[in-house]
Amino acid sequence: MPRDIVINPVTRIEGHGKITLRLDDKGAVSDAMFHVTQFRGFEKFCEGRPLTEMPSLMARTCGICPVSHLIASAKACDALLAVKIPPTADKLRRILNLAQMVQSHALSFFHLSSPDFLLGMDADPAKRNIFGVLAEHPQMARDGIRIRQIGQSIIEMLGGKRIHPAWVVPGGVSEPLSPDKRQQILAMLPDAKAIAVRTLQWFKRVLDNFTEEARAFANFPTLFLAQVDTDGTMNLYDGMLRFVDARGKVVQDKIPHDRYADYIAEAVEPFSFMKFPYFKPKGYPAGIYRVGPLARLNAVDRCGTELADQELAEFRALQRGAVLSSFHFHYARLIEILFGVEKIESLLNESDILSTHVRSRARPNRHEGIGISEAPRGTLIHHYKIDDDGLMTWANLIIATGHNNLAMNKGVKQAAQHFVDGNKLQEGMLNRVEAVIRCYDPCLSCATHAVGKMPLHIELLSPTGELLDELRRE
Amino acid sequence: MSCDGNNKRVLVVGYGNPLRSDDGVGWAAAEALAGRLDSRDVEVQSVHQLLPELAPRLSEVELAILIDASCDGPAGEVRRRPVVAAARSAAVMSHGMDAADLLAAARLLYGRCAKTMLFTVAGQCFDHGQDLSPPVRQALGTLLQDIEDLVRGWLDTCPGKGGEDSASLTAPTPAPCLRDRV
Repeated sequence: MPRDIVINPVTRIEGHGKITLRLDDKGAVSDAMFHVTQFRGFEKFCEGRPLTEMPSLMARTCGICPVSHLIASAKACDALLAVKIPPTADKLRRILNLAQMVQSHALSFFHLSSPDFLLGMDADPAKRNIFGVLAEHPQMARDGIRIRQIGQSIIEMLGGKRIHPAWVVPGGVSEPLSPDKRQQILAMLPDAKAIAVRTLQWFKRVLDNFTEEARAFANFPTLFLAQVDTDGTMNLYDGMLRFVDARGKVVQDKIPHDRYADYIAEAVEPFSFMKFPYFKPKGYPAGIYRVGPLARLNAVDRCGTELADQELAEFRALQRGAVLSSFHFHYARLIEILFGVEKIESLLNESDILSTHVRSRARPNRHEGIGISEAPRGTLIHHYKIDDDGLMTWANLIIATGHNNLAMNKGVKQAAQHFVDGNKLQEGMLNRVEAVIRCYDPCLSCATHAVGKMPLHIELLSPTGELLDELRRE
Repeated sequence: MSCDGNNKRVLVVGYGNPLRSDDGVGWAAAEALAGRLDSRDVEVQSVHQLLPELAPRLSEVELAILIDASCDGPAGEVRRRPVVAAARSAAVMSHGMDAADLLAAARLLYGRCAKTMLFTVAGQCFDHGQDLSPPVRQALGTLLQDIEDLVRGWLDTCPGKGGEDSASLTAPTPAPCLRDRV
């Protein structure tokens, strides 16, 4: 007789979600669902607002990656104004986006996921948290704090504040970079680079300890989506969309932003508030694809910076074709931290980086605008429509985490079928199911009001609701 | 001196969500204190949550003042209590840390933590909004004066690095541990 196991809430992710595992008569997992249980409604309540307010409003979508929304929104507004922003503003926005990438990836790797790597998937959950890391691996903890601090400091220096900076505006940025701030940022980068390099070296050494997780953590063929330059180089700020398949072959390339809807559609399921985007030509759900660090490294021809390209070559040796296991999101994240640091340095050394011409001004010239950038978690799409007065009439946001929804659900099922014995629950097996979700570093909301404790409560219920087994983590 | 070249002796951190009415009292206080305290000795920050990134600074300064809103007590009540390092949270998240956890992190990772005093103001309204409720607004004056007295007293009478025993932290000028409602 079928039974359900519910993991609610899923811990060490951004936002609130739960997992249901459905068991068959023999106690084996027959199905799995990842539910996003919160509703935000940003697309609706921005209607009627002036387009100039959109970047600041949209930044409020998230307290973890406000910069990503700020940038995608500003790009959509640039399109509505029909302006080309000054080259220096373009570079400064890129630096801001890269700093966001560095700090967000550091948060995911060091604060949220490193307890699993450093202390073990089966470690006592009372110790398998950041304090366990502080006590057992203080240098790693200091590195995590420092590199995140560097990313945040760059955001603060450019944007004026760490959370919800209003510096990115339609048409460019509001203030140029000062020589003093440029020097301060450059001075922090060697430290960041050293941390990125030594963490990568360490992670590659311990990868062999996680072969089973790599085998069973959402390890299946899908498409991968990322934004790349026209020559195939990684481009986190601008570029064209590219889909590659599980063999690493390009299936659709150079998709301009205004054609994204020809290739991406969204389905809905009754068990989640998060939509299920899919690759339109293949239909739903066959059009499953992944975005984010793993997808980007599978999609690009090169990173375009020296050290990151060396790491990319090594990463690609993991598997012939695309790297398929979502466990390797973590590895890819570290390579992107290194790329981010290298790229920031290179942009700061551009000759026009201190130019004071950083904003183009115009009135609305189009009724529809699309802004796409790469957020830490993947491709982020802001699509707006305005009326003749420049007031918002319609918005559609396809959030990076949303693209991965199909893959997260499928991955949870794969991991649950591999690790979970429904006849006797063990915390370690359920932690692995959660850890699949953590690979994607999903950002389910900003949740800036969260009080910081996410207890785990898992119940194994009979079809009549009888409690058969229970695990509780306070 | 910190790795960023900051050698200030006192750190004041106001925290909370300034878009949730009285939860923004920490920000309001920090903003006001930034104009009243000597910036050569005192660093003032406003943050949404206490995060691990504050740990290095808490290991470098002598005295830390944390300012938060509280749900307990009559609206406008100002309380102060020393914070002692203690790693207690089983599931510390990216969204925030307890003050005691944060001090424990500073001590574990950087060898010491500042003497720390937590000031709280009991809120009346935590709805969406950027204004403080009347009782909290009224309490702000007392709060600022208490903190200013404590910081000035510290700077005048405690040169150099102090120990870590926040429990022994006392204001050089008389200051009640529990303010009456104002």
